[in-house]
Amino acid sequence: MIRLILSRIGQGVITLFVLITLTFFLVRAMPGSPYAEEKAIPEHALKRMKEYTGLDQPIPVQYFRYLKNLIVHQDLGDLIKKDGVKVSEVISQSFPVSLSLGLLSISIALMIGIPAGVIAAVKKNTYIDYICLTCAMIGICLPSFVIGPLLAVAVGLSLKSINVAGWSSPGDWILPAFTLGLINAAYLARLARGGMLDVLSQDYIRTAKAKGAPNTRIVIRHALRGGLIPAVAFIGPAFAGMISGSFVIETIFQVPGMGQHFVNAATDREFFLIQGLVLFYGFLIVGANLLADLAQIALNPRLRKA
Amino acid sequence: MIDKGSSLWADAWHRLAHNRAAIASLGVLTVILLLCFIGPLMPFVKSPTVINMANANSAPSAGHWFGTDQLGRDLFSRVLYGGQVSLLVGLVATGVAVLIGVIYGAVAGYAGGKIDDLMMRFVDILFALPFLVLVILFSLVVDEPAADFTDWVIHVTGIGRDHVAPITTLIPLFIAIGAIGWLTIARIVRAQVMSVKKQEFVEAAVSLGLSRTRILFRHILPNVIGPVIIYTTLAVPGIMLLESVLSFLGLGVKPPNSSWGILIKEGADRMEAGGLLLFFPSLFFASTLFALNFLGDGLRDALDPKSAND
Amino acid sequence: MFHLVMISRVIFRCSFWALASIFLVLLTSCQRETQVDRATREGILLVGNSSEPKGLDPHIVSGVLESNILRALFEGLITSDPERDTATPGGAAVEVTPDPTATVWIAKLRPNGKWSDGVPVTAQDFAFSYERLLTPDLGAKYAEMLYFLKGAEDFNQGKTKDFSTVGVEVIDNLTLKLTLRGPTPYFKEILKHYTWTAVPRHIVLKHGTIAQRGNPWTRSENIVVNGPYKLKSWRLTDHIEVERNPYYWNASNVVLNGIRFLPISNLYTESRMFRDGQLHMTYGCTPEIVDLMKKENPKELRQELYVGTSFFRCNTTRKPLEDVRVRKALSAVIDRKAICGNIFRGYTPAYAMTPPMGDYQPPHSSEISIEKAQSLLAEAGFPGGKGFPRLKILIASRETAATQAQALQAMWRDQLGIEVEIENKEWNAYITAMQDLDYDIASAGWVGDYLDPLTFLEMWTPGNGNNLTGWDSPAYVKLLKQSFQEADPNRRFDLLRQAETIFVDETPVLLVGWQARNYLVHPSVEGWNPLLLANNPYQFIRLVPGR
Repeated sequence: MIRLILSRIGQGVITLFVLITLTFFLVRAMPGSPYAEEKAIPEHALKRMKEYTGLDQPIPVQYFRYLKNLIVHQDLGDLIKKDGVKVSEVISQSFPVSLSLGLLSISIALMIGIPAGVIAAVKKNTYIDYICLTCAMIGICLPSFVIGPLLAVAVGLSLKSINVAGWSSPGDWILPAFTLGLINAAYLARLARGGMLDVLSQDYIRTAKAKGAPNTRIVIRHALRGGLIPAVAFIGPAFAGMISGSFVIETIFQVPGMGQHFVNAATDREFFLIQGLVLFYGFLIVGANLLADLAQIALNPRLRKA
Repeated sequence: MIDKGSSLWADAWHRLAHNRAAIASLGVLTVILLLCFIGPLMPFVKSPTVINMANANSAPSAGHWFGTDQLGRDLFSRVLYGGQVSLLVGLVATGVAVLIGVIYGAVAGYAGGKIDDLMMRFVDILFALPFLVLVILFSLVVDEPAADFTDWVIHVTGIGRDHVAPITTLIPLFIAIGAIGWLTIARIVRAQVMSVKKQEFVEAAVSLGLSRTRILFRHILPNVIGPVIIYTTLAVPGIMLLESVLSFLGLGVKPPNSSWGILIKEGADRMEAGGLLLFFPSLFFASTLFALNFLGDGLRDALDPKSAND
Repeated sequence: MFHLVMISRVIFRCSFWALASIFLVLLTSCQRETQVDRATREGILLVGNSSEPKGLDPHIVSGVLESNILRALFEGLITSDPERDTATPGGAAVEVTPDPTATVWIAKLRPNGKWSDGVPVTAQDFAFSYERLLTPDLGAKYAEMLYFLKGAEDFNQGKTKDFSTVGVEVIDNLTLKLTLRGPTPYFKEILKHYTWTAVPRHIVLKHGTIAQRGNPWTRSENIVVNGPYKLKSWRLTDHIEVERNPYYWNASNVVLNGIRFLPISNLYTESRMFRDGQLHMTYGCTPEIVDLMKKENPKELRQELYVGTSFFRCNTTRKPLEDVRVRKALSAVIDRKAICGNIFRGYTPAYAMTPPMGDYQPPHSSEISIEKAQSLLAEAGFPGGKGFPRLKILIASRETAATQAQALQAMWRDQLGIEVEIENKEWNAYITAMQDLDYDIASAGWVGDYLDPLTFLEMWTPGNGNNLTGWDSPAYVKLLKQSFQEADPNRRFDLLRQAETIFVDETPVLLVGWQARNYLVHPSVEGWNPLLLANNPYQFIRLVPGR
């Protein structure tokens, strides 16, 4: 077990290193430049700005300088367009917001999605199943940029106590978390239902039924473990996606999270911010994958001897 | 009565044919496909790009079955033409992504050990790469060849630019989506394969001396198809919507062409001023997806060897 | 380890707390008071400000949204008047007086002017600031705003390292002498721009050298200002809040207590927030919401003239756009009224580059009929549009640009028989393509920096970084240069009008409309008047509760 964890950590480090390097060269291959502005910047000013950020150096020099700053000084660099703002500041201010929104959303998604999917599977082809399926479909078919404004207008504008946007009052998390949560709940419900159906039709379940075990116990003790595998496999990437933020949710609800930075950094060609975000995000993914794999091993004892 | 022995596929087809929801869905899908691909060739369908600002935002009428949008363009034809784009993106791009993902995930899950580790770390890296940066780079590289390809197709087949361009200019989009879309399904398939490969019937097949490829494709994959189908039906809407986000950022469908995703977004923006612009494209979009899902369920039930004699 | 029961326990516990807190929130926030009501009570103005500012250093930034914030923090020699566009009330200076040639100006500073840390504002601060902005090492994008000063351009281009060659002289602590490159009767108007404000010399030097890039003096813990407000808090992408500056010379007459700027980039979200009582004022307003507000709540909608022009650049270095007749034909069939009314709501069809401002009346180009346009096109070698190459309209992915381009596409197809394509590039690529002259026709806009036609005309000289059309007219340049030396305002406007006539006749750009600002203002806001530059001074705003 320990050896497994250690080897996975080692792989994680290598993964991150490859990731940083790839990103570094990819962003510099993009057309355009960080200095593109509506009112053009005069030549000599441009020269100074490049000198200041080190972007006038040949690319290999930039690369090693970046690595050195990263490893030796733990410095992710500065923003190019905003003087004096550090990449680490941007991440450290926006990540807690995205994290809390992500945790709330995933709780809502799990709370609603998994039970709905399991119940739908158990009561397959009854009207309960159809209701759950239809609700799930609505959550999947309507994109966040429809559900979000719908909720904002229907709930936010009518209820005085809930704001349509913002992240300052205590109730502000409700609308964005529900939007994200409901959508992911729909996915989880579908996957859980599918997984449960597969498991429920297997022989060892029939054996238990034939032996006269009550349905609930069958479901909880025997079926859940295997049936939730596809759903659990989905949680990892879903959660990571929520953390890197949904750009759409953040724009609709004015949430100062990380998602907008992913998009804006790319459009603004903020090289260091992109690299920093990718590194951070990669770190999260490697960690989340490790946890998800461990969860799978826990759910499926047969995998332990892998 | 003597029971005529039937193959797995005949059984499956039989079961599917009796699933009313699935058949109805097939019908709906066929109608939508016909409307979107054959419809625009009909003379009574107006142009989706003619602007008439005097008649903007009008209600449904005899001349405009779904009304007009904010520039006075006929909404009905925009929904149809938009459907071409969305259906192609949704079905083709997703299909490609699923194909790659299933094979990749199955191989990784079955191989296990170091190969699995390597393959999954590769997935991690691709997953963590900034998607937008990749798409921007893709457009840089692929836009020119796509334009050349468009010209070539028009030259060779003689079909009008209005019909060819919306489709061929989507090729960069397909590639970008395909390049990212297969990742999650690879993960799910891998997890499923890893769980299935430890079951008795697999061990039996191994001890019988069957080749690994044969085991993988004929014994394991059919048991994995369930989640795959479900996930595919889930992935399609996500991909259709991803296309609208990309188009919004200037990287996917370019104006005046449209897609359901773009129409829905435009309708949602204008929601407070009136809901028809949102309603009609959403109706088509949701119907397609509902139909796909019920069809998918039906397929899964039909192909499931265990529900054989229920 | 990860026992399933444990997981489900965790889930249920989380859910319980989530539900409980929702319930609690709904219960306790039976507040009847909206955010706007509360802010009105506290005297804080809640303003939507488009997006996160690139910084707060007046020498480094160059955008409209940044200027909205800088206006509250810094006060220049001349400030803006809350009611009249062209008035030039004294700000940090009591008065700024010209000599008879309007070339040498003396600014007398207020004796009681102070920075927000109590240190007096002196002429040395202003001289230091001008030197800083013009020093090439700083790489200031907007240094050319100071080129009105004698010798400033040479110093900024690095041709000399001696700042004493620039026309800035400190006479004494409270007196500044500015020598300009030529007669500039409208100089006081220029002085309103934030590039002419001062930065605190003692603070800038405390954290770095005069022209050092990345000097952290604007960080919220360091920044010191001389305006009616000082910085209270700055949370990235969340908000910027300013509060009263007790050391401001006119502090006793400042009515508004503070301002909170919210970087809301999505206009639909912004309108929703306004209607939910979260904002006093928005940055903009989409056409649909304009229509909606006209029906529901017309008093809260403002549609005001703005000093900006929307147009399409033509790449005059490419065929067939190098032919004036082609450009004129393309321009003539544009239905400006429809675009300005339907796509933009409230724009005015533009027949010249410069919108009307103050005493300047732009030249009126003669309307060309559609038949004439068609015959022009035929003359140029493309009768009925035959043989006309398939040009591309370059746009950035902004909604109005796309709809404008589609409108043009349709107009040109219907009236001239020409097919054009729309090339939608992502914003950064769009800017780069324009700057590299790698386009045929490109959507564009320009907002004036000050209320003088020069801000719209100077950019079209060859080599100006904002020209980007390849258009080069020696006659035009000659007229502009003459105007630099003309002291009489009327004769000067005459010269400028002649130059603009050349511009309009040669049509290097396809003019569309003079902009209007559509935005929403809460009824509790009093004293916010329509100004062409939208540079309202905040300190005179009153927030009246109960509306």
